[in-house]
Amino acid sequence: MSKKVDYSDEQLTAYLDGELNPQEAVALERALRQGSGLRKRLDRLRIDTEAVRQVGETLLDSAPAVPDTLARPAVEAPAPRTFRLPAIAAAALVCFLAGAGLTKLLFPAPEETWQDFAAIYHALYVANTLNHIDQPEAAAEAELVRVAGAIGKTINLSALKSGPLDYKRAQILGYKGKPLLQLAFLSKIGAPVALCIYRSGDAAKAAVAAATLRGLSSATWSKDGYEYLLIGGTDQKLITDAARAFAQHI
Amino acid sequence: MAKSAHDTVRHGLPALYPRIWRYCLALTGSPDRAKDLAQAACMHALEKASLFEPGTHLDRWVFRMTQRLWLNDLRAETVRRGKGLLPIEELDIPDTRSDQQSNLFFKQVLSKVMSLPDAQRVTVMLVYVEGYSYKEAAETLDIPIGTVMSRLSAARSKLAKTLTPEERDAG
Repeated sequence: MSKKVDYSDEQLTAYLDGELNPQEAVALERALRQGSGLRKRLDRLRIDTEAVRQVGETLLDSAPAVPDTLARPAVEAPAPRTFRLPAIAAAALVCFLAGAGLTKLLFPAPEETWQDFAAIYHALYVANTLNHIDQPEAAAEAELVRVAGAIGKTINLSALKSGPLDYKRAQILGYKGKPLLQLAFLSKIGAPVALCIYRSGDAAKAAVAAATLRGLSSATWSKDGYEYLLIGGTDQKLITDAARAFAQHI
Repeated sequence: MAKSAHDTVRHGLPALYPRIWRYCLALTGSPDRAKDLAQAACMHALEKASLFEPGTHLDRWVFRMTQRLWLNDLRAETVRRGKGLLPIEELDIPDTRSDQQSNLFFKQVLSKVMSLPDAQRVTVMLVYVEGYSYKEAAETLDIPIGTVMSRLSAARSKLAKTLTPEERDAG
């Protein structure tokens, strides 16, 4: 008989909030697959945190005017806040993220890497983020040429469409002033998956390695001066297999 | 040249003010008291501005100060004067949603969140609205991370019946 771990509601809450460390999240996900009781307890703690966030955003509209006592001389423009991630100001990303998780994104712990940022960003994706996208082949090709060109790469659309993931779109994000490429997919069960590519300039080569980031299955590798992250869903085998195929063809 | 601590606080407070008021709303449960507390907190922040370390997060610094101000001084005074926490029905916050269904949903969610016990409500505000990590929320509220977890867990249990995605879809 396998050894059972009892999870408290606090731990289940931390899992739902992406606050468990990767090892704890993997262990909990394994336990969830093994028994329905734990799954039911987890479901009883699920809430629509996005609705809470939206209500919070709307509350800002009801805030009273800034008191006169705080008014400052008009001659000086407000100093820009210093963000750790200046390139993240890419308008599309900021619009998409407005509110949810933004604080975490803008004020990360110092040791966090671009992969951590990409994981936080990707954790906000739901199937409906990508479901509606159905580009004609020529448009998808043109988009890919433009976006991949930003990091000096050429990527064949066929390499993205040959695997088990349904390719949706490409977009340019940014990290530390340099472009970060994001290719978005949906898995067969509707889990959003992203392949992120960042030009590191480091010639070191690393094979595909599986990991869990923010509770999401992921795989990282690097070659020819680029670092790669494939992330999404909780099917680690799917992600690792797809990563190996991408590592070969991209 | 780097800005002084006082300049950083003085220049940062106006932009931060709506969020300070929102945080005060979570602390006090009343828009009017939130306004009083937000103004008091800003004045307090200006007085203590020299203690702020430029380069750190002004919002967390002000929130921490606001929390202490409320708990140590103003809350006791409000209760002593017979102005206990208002029942939720008296909350009259206009919403700006255009359609009736989302107005209704907005009010339901707000009502449920505001009905939470004070400690849970303010923790929900920091983590689910402000987007703070557990660690950041714990530091702001001056409590252990375990307490953040138990507050959120209790809040989730209370909210779960009415705030599931399905309920939201149903409007």
